[in-house]
Amino acid sequence: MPRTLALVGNPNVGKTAVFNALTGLSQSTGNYPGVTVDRKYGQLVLNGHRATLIDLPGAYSLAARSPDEAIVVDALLDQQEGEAPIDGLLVVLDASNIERNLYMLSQLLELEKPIVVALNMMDVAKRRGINIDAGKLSERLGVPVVPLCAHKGVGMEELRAAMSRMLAGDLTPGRAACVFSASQDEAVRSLLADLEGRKDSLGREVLPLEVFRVLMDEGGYAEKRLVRALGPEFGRFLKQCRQNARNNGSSLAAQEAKVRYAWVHEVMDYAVTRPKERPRTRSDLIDSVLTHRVLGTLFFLGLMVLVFQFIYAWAGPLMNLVDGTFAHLSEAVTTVVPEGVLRSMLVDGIIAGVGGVLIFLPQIVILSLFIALLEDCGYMARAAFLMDRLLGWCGLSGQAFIPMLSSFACGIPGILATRIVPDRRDRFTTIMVAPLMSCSARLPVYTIMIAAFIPGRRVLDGTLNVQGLTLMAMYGLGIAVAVPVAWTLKKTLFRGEKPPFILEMPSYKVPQPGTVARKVWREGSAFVRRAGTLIFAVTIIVWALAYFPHAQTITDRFDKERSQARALIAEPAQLKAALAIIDGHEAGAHLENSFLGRAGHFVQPVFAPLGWDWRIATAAMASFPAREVVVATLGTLFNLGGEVDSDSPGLRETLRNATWADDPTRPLFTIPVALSIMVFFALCCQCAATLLTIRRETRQWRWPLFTFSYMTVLAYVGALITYQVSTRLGLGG
Amino acid sequence: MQLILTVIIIAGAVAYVTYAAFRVLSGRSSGCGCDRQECPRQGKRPSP
Amino acid sequence: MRTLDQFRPRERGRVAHLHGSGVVQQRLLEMGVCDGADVEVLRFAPLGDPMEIYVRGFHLTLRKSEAALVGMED
Repeated sequence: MPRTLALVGNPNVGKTAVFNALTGLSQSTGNYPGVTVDRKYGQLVLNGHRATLIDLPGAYSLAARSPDEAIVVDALLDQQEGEAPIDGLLVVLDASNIERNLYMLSQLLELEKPIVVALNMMDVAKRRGINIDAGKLSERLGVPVVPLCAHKGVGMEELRAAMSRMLAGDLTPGRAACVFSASQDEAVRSLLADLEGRKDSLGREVLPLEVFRVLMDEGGYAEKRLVRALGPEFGRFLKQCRQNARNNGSSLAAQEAKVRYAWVHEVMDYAVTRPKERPRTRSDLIDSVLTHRVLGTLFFLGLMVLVFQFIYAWAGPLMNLVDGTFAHLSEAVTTVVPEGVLRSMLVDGIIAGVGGVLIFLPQIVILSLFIALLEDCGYMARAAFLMDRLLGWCGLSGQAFIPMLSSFACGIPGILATRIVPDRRDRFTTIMVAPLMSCSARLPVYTIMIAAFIPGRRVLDGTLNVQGLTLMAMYGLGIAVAVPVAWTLKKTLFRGEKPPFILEMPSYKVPQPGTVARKVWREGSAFVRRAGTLIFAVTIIVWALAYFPHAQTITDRFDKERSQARALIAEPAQLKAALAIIDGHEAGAHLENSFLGRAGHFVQPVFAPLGWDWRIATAAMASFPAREVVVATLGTLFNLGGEVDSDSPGLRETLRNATWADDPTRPLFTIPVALSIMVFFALCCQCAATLLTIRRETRQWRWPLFTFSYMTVLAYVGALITYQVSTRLGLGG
Repeated sequence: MQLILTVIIIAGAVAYVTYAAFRVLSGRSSGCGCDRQECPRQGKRPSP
Repeated sequence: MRTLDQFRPRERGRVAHLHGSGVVQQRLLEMGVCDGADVEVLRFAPLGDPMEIYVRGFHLTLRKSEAALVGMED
């Protein structure tokens, strides 16, 4: 029978590296029921024994405070719904940080399950002068201890051997190591007896270890769950038990920590030698610059500027490549497919629409590359350190910075990353403002508007490009708006105390190419996949709505005009020009008469104060499922409108040449219009996937509805102000 | 002929969008466009 | 009794008593900030808060308001 093993450890100990090395490609993920915490599985075959390895979320102790810490505890106590009972533990310890890592091990030993300890990062420990005698440690703990450098693959064979012994049932379970006071044992016993009597109303049995956590963790998850199930009367009984257990000493949590750290020191005195002085590591040296008062701040700002400048500078040539490919494709289709409805769908609909979106793939890859690098090297914790005070002004903690930064790649992982924010009010506030960060789906909108309408001038002796600065300003706008929004939310809907900011600063490490590549691939392939499926389909529908009914009366009217022109104009060049103008008018007339055209005209008055014509209004509405659809829709609309210039098939030129339908001499897109479109898309929440993720994470429909409403109002007002002010400043001329 | 082909493609697109919307609403997809098994955003809707 | 937030960078000391309760106390304890722990203050963030300390062989950041709960031996 295949057995189930759990992989446990503190965060940042290289658990993932061990998991990948052990299970290779046989991994799968899912979610725990009730909360959306990832669960990762892998299959193991060792010496003919098969087992499933579950990668549990990283935790510092079994005193659960948040839902995802509760999962670790529940899984380990075989109480997690939908999880098989766990037959053994693989505990990963960071050898360079052995003292604090042993703390949780002391709790894990009390589970009385077979344990294998993997002592990872032995190389780092050695560099810091920490010597761990694995043999002595194993002797002391009563479980096998395997030294490891997981990322180099050193020690993996020995780990496999130890685990196959565990699977064969050759290991004795771990033993409780710490001794607590008699009054505490007494309190656990009386709680157990009480809960035994309430077994029926609770519907399950409560294990001694869970009771121990209920007793020790004042206000913790275990207590809350039991009190919720059994009522306040149990809460009062628990309070009494705690009073007895304390026996006039310090708080129970403090007593537990003291006992455990005393045990940790005993173990360390036996098996570990380390320098008395704090070792000066490379990490310290880097930190003395990167978290320095002046240098650190400058570095942070410089880094942000650099990222956005590079997105612009590097992506250009690649984007031209994609653009060129689609232009060729379009030509090829035109020569193969005869003129008619099908060609129109292929060229004006699919190629113009999907091509207009796919062109942004290079930028998305570069941005996610930067974010993956920063995440993997350990700079994110420093960013949280630098930003905590600043975020504190809007009532959030530095931990909110990581979800916020992830939201620049995509709001969905950003919202999921808020799970690391332990406080519910803080977490919900972060979820509500995370979609204000400019995600990669906004990039297409910004890029097309900037490339077409913002002059590519250089300032400051040519070091900074105005286009790059505009892009940065758009990203800055989201942040600037998020501050008052978060502040208001924390003062009204999510009022409460400031949650703690007690965070480990992991050592810097060289990013693992594999991990970075995986993250970039995930972003890039998700983007392409979406362009190839949903956007592809939406493009066809938008095209159809913009093409039909394609009334014959209109065609007839322009056919008449054409024959008149042929009769009147003799000179071939002039005739050609005249016919092109007629074709353009015909296409425009068809578009205006189409289903989409009529709907666009109907809503246009609402968007008129933003400087938008009916086509922009239509595109904005069509982009409700995903923001980047607006670019595809604009491509389709303006192509169908016959505004395409055969010499430069790109959307950029098409938009530049677009004019108001009622006045062909007046350009449609001016700088104020471009800015108002960008501001609208910076602030709106036109993304069905984000809204559904908010629903899933908050488990209520009202939060996505709230997010959508407030962001749409902000977007409209922001675009209105932008258009009106920039027009008055004379930018429209 | 062209018109028939076009109508079939449009019908396909409408069907796909309906299907995608259904999957998202029934919680079988996160709607992020990435429905691969190993995608961390992917997940079932929590049971009530 | 001085508290940890009053320490200067590079200053070292030993924890005497941990005040406070609930989640803040719990987090500090499981991170190893409990009675008898040796602590060195490393630096303060550019805006003066939070601070970074060295405790039990690793680096930890916490706010001054949280460090104020950590009473130090004289």
